[in-house]
Amino acid sequence: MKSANKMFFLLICLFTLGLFLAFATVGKGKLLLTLFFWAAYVFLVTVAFLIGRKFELFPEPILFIIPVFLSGLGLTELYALQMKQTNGIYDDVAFRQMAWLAASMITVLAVSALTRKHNYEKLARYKYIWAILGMVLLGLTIPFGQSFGGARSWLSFGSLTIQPSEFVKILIVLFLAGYLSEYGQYLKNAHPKWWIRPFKALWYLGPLLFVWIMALLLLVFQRDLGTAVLYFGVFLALIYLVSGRFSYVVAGGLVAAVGAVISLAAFDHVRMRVKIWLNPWNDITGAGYQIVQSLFALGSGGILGVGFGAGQPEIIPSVHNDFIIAAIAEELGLMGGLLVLAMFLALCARGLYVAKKTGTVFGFLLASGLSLLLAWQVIVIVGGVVRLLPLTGVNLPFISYGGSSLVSSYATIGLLQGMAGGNNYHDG
Amino acid sequence: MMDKQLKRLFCFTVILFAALAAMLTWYQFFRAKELWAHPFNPRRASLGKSVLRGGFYDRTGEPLTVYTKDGTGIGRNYLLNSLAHVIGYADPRYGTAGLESAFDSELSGSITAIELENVIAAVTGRSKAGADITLTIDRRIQEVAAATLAGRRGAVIVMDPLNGDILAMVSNPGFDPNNINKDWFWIAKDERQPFLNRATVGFYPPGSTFKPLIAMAAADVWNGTTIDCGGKTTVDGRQISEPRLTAHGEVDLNTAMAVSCNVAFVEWGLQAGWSAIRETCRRFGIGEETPFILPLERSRLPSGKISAVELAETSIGQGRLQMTPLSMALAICGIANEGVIMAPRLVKQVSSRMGLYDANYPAVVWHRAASAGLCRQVTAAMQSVIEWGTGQRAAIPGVTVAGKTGSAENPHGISHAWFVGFAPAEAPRAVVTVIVENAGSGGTVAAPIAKEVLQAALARR
Repeated sequence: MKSANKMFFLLICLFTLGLFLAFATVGKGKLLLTLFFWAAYVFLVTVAFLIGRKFELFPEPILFIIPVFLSGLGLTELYALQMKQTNGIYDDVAFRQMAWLAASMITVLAVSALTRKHNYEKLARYKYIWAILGMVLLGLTIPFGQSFGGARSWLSFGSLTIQPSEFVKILIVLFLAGYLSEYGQYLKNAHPKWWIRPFKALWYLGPLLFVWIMALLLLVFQRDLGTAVLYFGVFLALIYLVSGRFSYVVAGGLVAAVGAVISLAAFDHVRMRVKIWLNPWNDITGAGYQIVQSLFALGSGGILGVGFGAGQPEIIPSVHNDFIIAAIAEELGLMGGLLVLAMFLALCARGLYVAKKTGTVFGFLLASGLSLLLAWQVIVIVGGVVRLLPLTGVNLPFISYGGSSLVSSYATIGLLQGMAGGNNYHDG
Repeated sequence: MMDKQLKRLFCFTVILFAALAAMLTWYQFFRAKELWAHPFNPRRASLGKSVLRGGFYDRTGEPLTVYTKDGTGIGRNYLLNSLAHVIGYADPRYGTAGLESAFDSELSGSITAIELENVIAAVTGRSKAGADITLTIDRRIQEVAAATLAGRRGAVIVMDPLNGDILAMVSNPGFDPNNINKDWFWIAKDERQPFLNRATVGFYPPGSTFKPLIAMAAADVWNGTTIDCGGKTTVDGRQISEPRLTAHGEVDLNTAMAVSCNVAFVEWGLQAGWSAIRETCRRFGIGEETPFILPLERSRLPSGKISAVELAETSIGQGRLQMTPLSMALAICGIANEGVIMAPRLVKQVSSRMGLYDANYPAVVWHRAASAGLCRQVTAAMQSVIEWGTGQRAAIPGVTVAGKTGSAENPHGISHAWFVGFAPAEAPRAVVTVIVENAGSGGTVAAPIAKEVLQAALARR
């Protein structure tokens, strides 16, 4: 326990010193503001860490250190954007994000404490409640939704806007894990012939499919394709985990292929995205503008980057959420980009380690689902930015601007921490 | 219990992360330079927001750009819209084009010597600035050329044959480089293609302006002989005729050139043969790689097997032969300069304020195309064109002008009007090339434009 504390403080010292230097170069001539901003970050994460350690809420310190490290990078980049004063778009993004970080620290502590206090196994019991809550939250966006940047996935309360799909992600994993821990055993030997097995299994999967298809439909309605793909991926991953049968993945892949073909045929915006993905250079100043500008940012960053605040990532539309990785890659270079990727991979690995140690099927499925969801969200958005995949706008967890995304990401961390502190946990 | 599956899912995740890392490396390492230097990357254009971008000056030091002070800082405006294709533009959104693109590092001061200078400037309290560019363009000639071509589609090039200097280069329709930010979309959509620099990348059949080059190729054939022109001739069943079937009678080179006799040049071209014509083209740089600071296309010669009909068509500048106005201008420069073609030059000097960076671009010989004697013979024939032939409207009192008109048939409508020529014929100081798209005959449309431009060019100091 003591060594983790030391590690944290060493890291905090080194990293926040770096952050301070970064802020200072970014906020030239606004030293007091910069100092204040930096102090706020250090204060928030240190206090949260101390409280967490004191009440044994962070049994896996690495699962807290990596997220706050990533959030620090994100905040610095947002501060750099804010300092550029470009047409008022990014006027207060860093300050708002700092407020959300405060909310996130409370969230991670509270979720970890609750999960730990009331054995998380109980969460499986309320699986249908999670499902209904998730659908209601998504459903609310149909009559009341507001659209930003093409996706109609925000709910507005005065000046506060939240994106329910960020929270529904967790609810969906809770539901899937709860349902599959109960009925998953039937999937393994639903039928001896592998090509019949998925059809036979449909019978067991009825309620699950219903919830899941509803969620997908809602997302498609909202044009939030990236999140829909994520839900689908986690769904298949959990079924594969619980059944051990690859045939379900094959069947799911076929369904996905059919879905892709249908949506290509049915939706203009899907066709457009694929076209831009295949060749953004055809229309540099029009449809391909965003992705091309992001490629310019990557190329201009080179290996070592141009330094915080020294680049021009603000040219890329929505650089503060979907394209934040391009900003980091421009200003911190390839090294910065790879560092971020490595951090996420380490986070995922540690989350899966927690899953293995939980000792229950539900805990295993829940922790793996949450960890894979985080990692795959990174693949969806970074893959879109570097043209590995068609671009679908999702946030980069912990880094992108956005309160719902930040708070829900830290809620995920809270759940993992709480599970690592559970009674059946096998680790010291 | 389900460790194997979990391990596989993690491996899957690792593979995808590796793919992300590979793509990131691809863009940030292997293609970084290319992306950074891409003309649409606004980082280049706005590189020197703190650095005053260098200005453009004509050959005599007359400014072509002017600095203006507005609310947000110092802006830089272009004075001559007609130079939009030459100087180009530098826009934060639409990137750079023309010389703004070719000399971006110099103009924005991102060259070590200029950066050093700007450090000194910052210390001594002066503003940072990029290098200034002195062109070979003569502002007055450019203005006259733009004015005479106004309202027509086409191009005018004026060159000094002795050193290859481009004195004026106009391409119509043009655009306003000062409003590129607002107009870009509409210009890019315009069917008349205002962004196209017709002088360097426009392809046209040369028509009769190709006849001086046929004369060059067929010197052995026409020397001391005449052709009897009956108004038409037939090659392999294909009839090639004079306009209105005018029979020119007995013609020698001078007469054939002056009246633009198709029958004579078809005969000479056929007798000289394709290989001789192709060799002449190569020597005059037609279809050859040309050293030039702006983007440029090579003229297109017919390739593959050339039939007699095609050879006959090429001899009068039709058929598959396609030339750019600059390529034509360079060939005529060769005739004017006794066979020596100087490389086309658009920029004389690029120098920073304190002179730490100072690049001069000397005149260099590009091709030695033909003997001086042969050039003088063809020049004499081209003088006849102006004195009593098809190019009389290009005649300037008191000056001997040599030239050739052309009316190039094309699939887009009535003929393109061409005029190429130079003056004074005995000691050329200016070569002018005029092309007006779908405007009719070269003698009536292009020659008067050439005359005005030549007069302006001869009046220069």
